[in-house]
Amino acid sequence: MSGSKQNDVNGVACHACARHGCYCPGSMVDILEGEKQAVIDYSGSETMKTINMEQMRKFLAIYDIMCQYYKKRHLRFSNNPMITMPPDIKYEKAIGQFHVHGHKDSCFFRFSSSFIPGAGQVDGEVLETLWGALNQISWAARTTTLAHRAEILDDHTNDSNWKKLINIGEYE
Amino acid sequence: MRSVVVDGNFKADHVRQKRPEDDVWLTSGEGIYAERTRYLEHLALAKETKEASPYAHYAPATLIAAVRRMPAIVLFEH
Repeated sequence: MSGSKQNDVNGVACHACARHGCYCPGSMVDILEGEKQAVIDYSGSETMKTINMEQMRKFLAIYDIMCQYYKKRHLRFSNNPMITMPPDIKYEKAIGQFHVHGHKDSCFFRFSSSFIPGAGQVDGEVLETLWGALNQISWAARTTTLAHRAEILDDHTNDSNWKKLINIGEYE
Repeated sequence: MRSVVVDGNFKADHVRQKRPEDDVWLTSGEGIYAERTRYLEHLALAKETKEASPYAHYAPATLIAAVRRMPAIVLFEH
């Protein structure tokens, strides 16, 4: 189980497109033990490099605990040479529509994605549905080697992206 | 504006191996997964730059410990 002493990796963290739910390349990282901010920082930094941010002025990140994650984020990025953020891009902060209602009232008004101009109608919970699909196979990777586990998760996340791409015109 | 969702998944865990040094990495950082060695370097760096306790400027640790050791009468009567 996650958090037990027998584990060397407790889980994964990832970025995905809020509109259609494609996994962002290079953004899936292992959660070794706590260290959540550093883990998400790195995932976000890698996401910036792969999702074609040229000519973009804003970057909207929707995260369950954005209200505490964003604090001192710029300090963490400036103190650590391994993570970078494009300097001229505005970082917009939001919390998904399911989680924001579980927070304090003030979080709803400050972080709900429905109040952010340009965000459109996004619920910001698409990764939960992706995890639902990924969890069907991730238990099979628990006792493999770390390299094999990375390959399994890589293959299935890539397959999810691919199926999404070729079936995007289907309407039901 | 690009919109992305961030989340962690604690179900995709991994059990410690007996001989992790025998692991063979065919690919690393070519797909959705992040490049491993660079990520581990980052985690090591991130630990070093931990911020100080918010109470560090407030009182030295020895003073706080001394106040904690005081009997309740001393604390409340003065």
